[in-house]
Amino acid sequence: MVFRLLPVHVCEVAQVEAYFSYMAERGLFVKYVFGFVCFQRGREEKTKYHLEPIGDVNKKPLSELCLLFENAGWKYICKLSNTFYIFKSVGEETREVPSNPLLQESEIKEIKNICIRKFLGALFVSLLSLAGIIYLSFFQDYFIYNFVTFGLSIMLIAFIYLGYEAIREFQSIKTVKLYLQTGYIFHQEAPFAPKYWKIRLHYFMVLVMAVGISIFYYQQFAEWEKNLVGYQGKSPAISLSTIETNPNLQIEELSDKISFNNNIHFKSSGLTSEIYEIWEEGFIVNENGEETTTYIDTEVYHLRFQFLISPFFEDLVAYKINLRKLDSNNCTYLQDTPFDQALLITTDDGQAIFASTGKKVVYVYYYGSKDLSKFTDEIYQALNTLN
Amino acid sequence: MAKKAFEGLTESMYYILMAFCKNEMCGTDVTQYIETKTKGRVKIGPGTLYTILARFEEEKIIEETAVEGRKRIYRITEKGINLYKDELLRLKACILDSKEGVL
Repeated sequence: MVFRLLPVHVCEVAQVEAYFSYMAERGLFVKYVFGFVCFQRGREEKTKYHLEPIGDVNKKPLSELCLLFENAGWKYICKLSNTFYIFKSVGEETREVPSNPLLQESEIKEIKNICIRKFLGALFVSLLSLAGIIYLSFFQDYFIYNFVTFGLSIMLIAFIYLGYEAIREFQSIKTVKLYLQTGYIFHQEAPFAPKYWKIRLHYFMVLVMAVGISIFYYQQFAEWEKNLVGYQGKSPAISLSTIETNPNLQIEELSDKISFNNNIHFKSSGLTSEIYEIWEEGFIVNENGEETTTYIDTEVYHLRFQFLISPFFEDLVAYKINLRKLDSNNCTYLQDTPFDQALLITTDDGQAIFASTGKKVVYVYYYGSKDLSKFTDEIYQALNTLN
Repeated sequence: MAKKAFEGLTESMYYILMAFCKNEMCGTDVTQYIETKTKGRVKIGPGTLYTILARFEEEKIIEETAVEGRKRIYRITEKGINLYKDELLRLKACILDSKEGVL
């Protein structure tokens, strides 16, 4: 048995017939069609094939139709896409069996209905992604940041590809239908040579999308959040105790519930393999028994593509400046750090560092009395715990 | 959606009715009759024939009289005969019209 993808559209009746004849000349005879065309090996011989539309009426009994074809020298093989019967010539005294173009047209209508259903599905996915893209473009200021963190890339690929495929198929069926309405009978005049690359590309794209969408949903399940106190797993952030060396520093006690103040949150998206958000908060009790709050907020983004680093970095800085009301005038580019780029923004209350190395971007906001810029090596080392 | 009643006969339909006016017969006999009658000018494919027969039966223009193995024998009904006669009259009128025509 040999399996092949049908390299031409089912509506192109004459081309499908010519393709089967072409394969028969190479000793491959259609056995059945089930998504793939299954060929059986045999002696190479010239064989004619005929596609007979199933139509409304022919869906019930087949035996009488087969008899009529047998009398004309044809043998029934199998169905093709539930829309055509495939017949093959037997012996040399095969008579031509013209199909009714109007009947063919009604079958094409059936294929068109299938196409419309596919189109509506594609449209639904496309509209969803389009709505997401429009929302991020016009109602959010930080397009790249949102695009990367929400993982709309798969949606975008689906939108472009499915939209293109649906429109192309629709146009092709429309043309064939128009021919049939005028009573045109299809002939394949030029010698037929199959080209598989289009159909292979199609299935490759479908596979990529299926894998992409599966990853997207897997990532939703892979998202987790844990208490930071007592957490033993991987963490790409420096802890508060690394900065605050005061022995009176106390981290909030572990409770049964997820602590809002001390937690680690993991997620990923189509464009980021890892996103960590780590919030650690503590307090220092001075000699008079007064408590001073201190905290460190770290976000780590491990992007999948290098080219996104620069625009993402810029968007992240802009987003955080706006969110935390940071003063962009107090901005300093840090030199002599192990990072590719590092930016420090100071405020009255705290300091923020934005840095990137390779495909990783880190944002650290520290609220406390120490100088965060002195801990860039530690931040870099913590970041390198990610593979 | 209900199917439309026959508004006019196609050439294939006309010849199939003509065959049944001659005798009761099966689909294969109909094909042979038409080929002989028209000296091969009109060829009806099995798919087309099968569809027309099923449609005629549904509209009670022909009816099944016997089944011999995979063969089904049909005969024309009164309605079928009237339909054939009407078409014949229409065609004769067409011929008469053309005799008074310009050519």
